[in-house]
Amino acid sequence: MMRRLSLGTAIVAVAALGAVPAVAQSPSAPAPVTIRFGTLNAPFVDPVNKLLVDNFKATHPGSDVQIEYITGDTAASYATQAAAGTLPDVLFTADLYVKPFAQGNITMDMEPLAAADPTFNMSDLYENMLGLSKVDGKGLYMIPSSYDVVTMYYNKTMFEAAGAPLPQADWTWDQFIAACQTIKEKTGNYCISGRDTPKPGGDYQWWADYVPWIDGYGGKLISDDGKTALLNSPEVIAAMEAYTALWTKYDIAQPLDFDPGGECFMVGKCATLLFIPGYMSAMRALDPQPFEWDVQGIPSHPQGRFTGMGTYGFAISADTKNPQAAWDFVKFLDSQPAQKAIADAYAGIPMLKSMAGDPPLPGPPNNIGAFVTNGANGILPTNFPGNCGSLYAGLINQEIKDAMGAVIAKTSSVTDAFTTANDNIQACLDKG
Amino acid sequence: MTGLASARAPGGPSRRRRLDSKRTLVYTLLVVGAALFAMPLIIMLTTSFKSYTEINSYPPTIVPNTWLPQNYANAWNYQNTDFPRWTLNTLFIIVLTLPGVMISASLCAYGFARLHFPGRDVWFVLVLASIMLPPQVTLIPLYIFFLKLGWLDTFWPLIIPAWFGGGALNIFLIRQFFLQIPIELDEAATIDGAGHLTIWWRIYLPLSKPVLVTVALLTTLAIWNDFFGPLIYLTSPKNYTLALGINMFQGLFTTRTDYIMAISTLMVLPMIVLFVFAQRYIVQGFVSSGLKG
Amino acid sequence: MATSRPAARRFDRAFWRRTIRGYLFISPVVLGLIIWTFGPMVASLYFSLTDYKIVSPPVFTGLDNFSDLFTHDRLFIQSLWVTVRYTVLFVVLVQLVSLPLAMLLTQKVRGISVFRTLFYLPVVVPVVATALLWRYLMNKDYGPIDAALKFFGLPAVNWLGSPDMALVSLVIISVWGAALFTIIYVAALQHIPEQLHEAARIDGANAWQQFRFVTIPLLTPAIFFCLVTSVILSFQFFIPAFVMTGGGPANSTYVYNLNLYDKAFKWLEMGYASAMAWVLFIIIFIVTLVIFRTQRLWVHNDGGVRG
Repeated sequence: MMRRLSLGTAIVAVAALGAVPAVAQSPSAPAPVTIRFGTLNAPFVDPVNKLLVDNFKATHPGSDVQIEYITGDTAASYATQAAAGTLPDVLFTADLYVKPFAQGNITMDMEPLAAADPTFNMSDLYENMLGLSKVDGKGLYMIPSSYDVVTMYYNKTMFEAAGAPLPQADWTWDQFIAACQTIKEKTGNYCISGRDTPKPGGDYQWWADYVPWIDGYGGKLISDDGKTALLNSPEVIAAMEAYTALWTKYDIAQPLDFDPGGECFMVGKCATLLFIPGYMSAMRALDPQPFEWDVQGIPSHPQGRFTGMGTYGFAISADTKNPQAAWDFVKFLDSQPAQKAIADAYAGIPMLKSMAGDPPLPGPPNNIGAFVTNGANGILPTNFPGNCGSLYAGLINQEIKDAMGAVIAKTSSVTDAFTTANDNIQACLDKG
Repeated sequence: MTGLASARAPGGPSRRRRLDSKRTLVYTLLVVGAALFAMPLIIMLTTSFKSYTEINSYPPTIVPNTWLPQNYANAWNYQNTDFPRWTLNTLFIIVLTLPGVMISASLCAYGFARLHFPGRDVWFVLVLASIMLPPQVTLIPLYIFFLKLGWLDTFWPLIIPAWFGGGALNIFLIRQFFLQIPIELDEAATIDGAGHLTIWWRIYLPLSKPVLVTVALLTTLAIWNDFFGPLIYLTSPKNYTLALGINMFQGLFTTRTDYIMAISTLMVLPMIVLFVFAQRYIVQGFVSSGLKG
Repeated sequence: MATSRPAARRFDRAFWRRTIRGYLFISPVVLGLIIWTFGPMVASLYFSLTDYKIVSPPVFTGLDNFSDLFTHDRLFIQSLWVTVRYTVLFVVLVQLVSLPLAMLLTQKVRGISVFRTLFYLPVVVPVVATALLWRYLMNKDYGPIDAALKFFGLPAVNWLGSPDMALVSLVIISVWGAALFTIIYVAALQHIPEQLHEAARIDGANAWQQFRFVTIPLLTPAIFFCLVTSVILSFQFFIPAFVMTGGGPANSTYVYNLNLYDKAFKWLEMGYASAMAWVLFIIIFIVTLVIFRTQRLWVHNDGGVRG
């Protein structure tokens, strides 16, 4: 046994030794630079920040990293820095910034740098998540931090107390809704948390919530040639009817005016939460754990199983004076050590396919593998060409948001609301 | 003038009784009003001692189940924060700003209130107009201006404007008070041979102690709480101010309410001291200057 | 001497002396305005005539932004209306609260400075904390305010959650934090010489008459200041709505500046946002001008005391 152990240890040691130099290799001894790094101060991001900085300093002797923390709302400070050209060399970004920043030449396309770098294995990254880093299907404008696919967190204690069946990997939405109704009847609690964002109470207007429904009913928001808006097509209407029914018919989604004083799932007033893996760290920080919880894949729609994605990451500013150094710094985020640090902090799921087989971390959640299997169902937000905005911001986001809001508030029918939205969006698309 | 409750009031026992019942009424109103106004502050205090888990439970508890004074230490020493330094930064800005505001605002107010020259009213309108445009749209040009001066990531964009007029509302406020000072005082001083600067320094400033202390107080409050300015101009963590620092507790998924409340409570305490101190000075200032005939 | 204008010969030496002296006194604010206020204001006026996406240079489009604003943007009218409603509610409520409060706080009782401190403190609480605190207080299910209402048999109000009450809730929170006006009224009340009250009392005036004929007239400059200031600040109301409600529910608290912020930094339509800013500027300017014009009718600025 001792011999086997030492052999196993030796193999691991060799593998580890092999990994580090592979990542730390640089073409030639780089000149000392100082790069500015914009990032978050969140507890689970902090070890990753340190890892990136330490690795950079180790591979670039004499160089330094100046960290600038994102505080408060990023939109105003980012836009200002972008306008003046004072963005950090490596900047914190998220899926919603990828397209506007790329189109405005704020961030640079890192694909050439990645292609020229033998140590960066892009094929080891999950393709659908990588799609969030592309603009119109091309380029690499963000190094994603985690395989952030929207998955179901569920309150096992509450399900069992209501006598409802626990969510299974092969469930349909109908089965899920039925279980939710049981919970509502027996415990009076709602089923789907509104995530306490952007304001207390419910939420409905994140594309990752409703676009899967549209795909699930075989619909599209815009024609493939990008010229015709399809919000009032039969499939989209059917999808939106079904989606808003969670509020208007079944009353299992957190009502918009119900404020349980925090995020509904965490305070124990909602049975499930549909969100990304990073939230595990927030749940695990509760001491003692208020209830038993686990995760499961998203239920399926008539046309298939779809779920949304969304992640933060880092990009390189187009104005940087040190693109190679910035690349050396930022690519480390998707390396094994950094991804392992993120996973160990329960702050995300590794972006690397090669790590999918890694031994699972201790729960909660016990079913942590669901994040990876559910990952295959992740879809990208619909892309809208032209000047009318996107699903994140702009006219399109506003119209859809207001239409859905009207339906959920029962001040309009789905057909009326979405026809109005469709007409307004079409008018904008026609302007060209 | 204030704060002197005479125990022996003239007018006999019935007047004393009326004064007593008036005092009771006043105290009742004060206590009720103070309770209403202070309720959020009390909750801030109790929440600062709660655990993160307890804050995120339903239904919320009023009094903490377990009292955690270590929240204060943990918040003060939170990862990558430097509250001691940030406090000094904030104080530094206040100390350099206040004299600028007091001097330049009162100088300008005097010019607008007492001097006559062409374009005076036009410029006063322009001063007021400068706060009528939403700041979001002047942010970028202003930022670029300070960028070109090399003042980014320094305190200067927050301090220097105070020396150039000290704020439109401050000028407006002081001007209002100056306008109320009897013109006869000016005339008397002029007969004695005083120029405008002397009149401003010797007569208007001393007489306006209440409003000047008010301006100082309001300016201090504004700087203490200013978040947007520091957010845009200060990028290195070592230069942060308190208002900016407290935002570090808002993470990607969660908000450290317990730490936010702890730091907020700490931020309120020095202001209490400042308020009490400032009020005594307002009273003294008025009593010592006096307005004779 | 310095306060009367010469009758004839306008541009004599005295005139130039007056002019130079005047501009010397106001030179700090004039310089400040010229150096960093007018420049950005003119820049934003230029932006309002362009399509400026921040991430790319501005493209001149003339008055397109303004015409789009008035013809194609339902949110423009809606958010303007929300801001106007907020302004009216706040301006009225804050005067009704601050002045009586200031009078209460200038009573000559022991410990009054402690009470004053308590009423001023809300201003010092960081906005982040204020949002969390009022969210708790105004909660329909467990908040103390609704608990008190229910105790007295009144129906609970969904303060921040219902489209009807959300704006009113924000007004209440703003008035709670509007110690600025109370502080000014306290200073103004203390500015009134005790001798005047004594004189009136000797003449036989009761408390109400003293209030009407001594206090109020001498307070009119402070009231004027608070009126103008509260109007200007209300039209610029933004941060509490941004932090607490995000414009909801159902856009009932989507104030004008929140709309502007979204257009500027989320939609990255800085040109359009600049047009919105200048529309607001003109509105505030006109309202303020009207209030100033009424000054003569009711404000006693003469530095003396009338009858």
